[in-house]
Amino acid sequence: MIWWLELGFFGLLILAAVVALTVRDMIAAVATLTAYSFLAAGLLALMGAVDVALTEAALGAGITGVLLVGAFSRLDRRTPD
Amino acid sequence: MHDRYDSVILHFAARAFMVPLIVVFGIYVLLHGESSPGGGFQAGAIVAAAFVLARLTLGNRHGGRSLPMWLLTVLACAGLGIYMFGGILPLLLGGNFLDYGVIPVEWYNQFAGEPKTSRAAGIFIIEWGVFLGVASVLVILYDHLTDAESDD
Repeated sequence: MIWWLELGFFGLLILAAVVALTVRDMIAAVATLTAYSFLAAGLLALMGAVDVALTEAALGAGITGVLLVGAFSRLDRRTPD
Repeated sequence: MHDRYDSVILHFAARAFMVPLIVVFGIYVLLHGESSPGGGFQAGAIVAAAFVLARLTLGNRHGGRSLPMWLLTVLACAGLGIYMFGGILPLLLGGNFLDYGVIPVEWYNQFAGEPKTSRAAGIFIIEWGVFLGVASVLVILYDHLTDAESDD
């Protein structure tokens, strides 16, 4: 419907996914993954699936980031590869 | 993650604004789950996010004082029990398992003065069970993951 908004969201989504895969710092990877989840939630809300967007924003952007940071606090912060 | 981060602004914003507002929004999403987007799972995730935020800002021990582990375990089991109750209640009333159509709601409609179908009432019971289970299990996950004492 608002095609330029959806196009911008898609571009940022792909950018966030690529950055989350290539970055070395684990905390930065988790942060970009959270941004990815939030952009996906915005896209779902634009498509009319508000129910799914609510779940994605609460779980993907909220709880998952905190749980991943809690898991990485027990590991090395930088990945070897 | 385990320790309390000393910042007056952070503590005030978290305790006075964000956590109560997020909890109220979660309850709103739960109660309006039938007629608008939302439901038990979403409300549970939102309320769990509020409690995790309290633990993040105030520290694990201080932030988790109002909702300790034994209470979380009891709430998670109570959520499962409410779900089972919603399933078995139609069985006792002569229907099938989870067949909400036989739940009597006439007394409630007379008392509250609103036309509510029995299927809506059955789904409402289920939503409360899902809400309690999801919210407490997500907080239990966070507590176990960031527990300072356990070293496994």
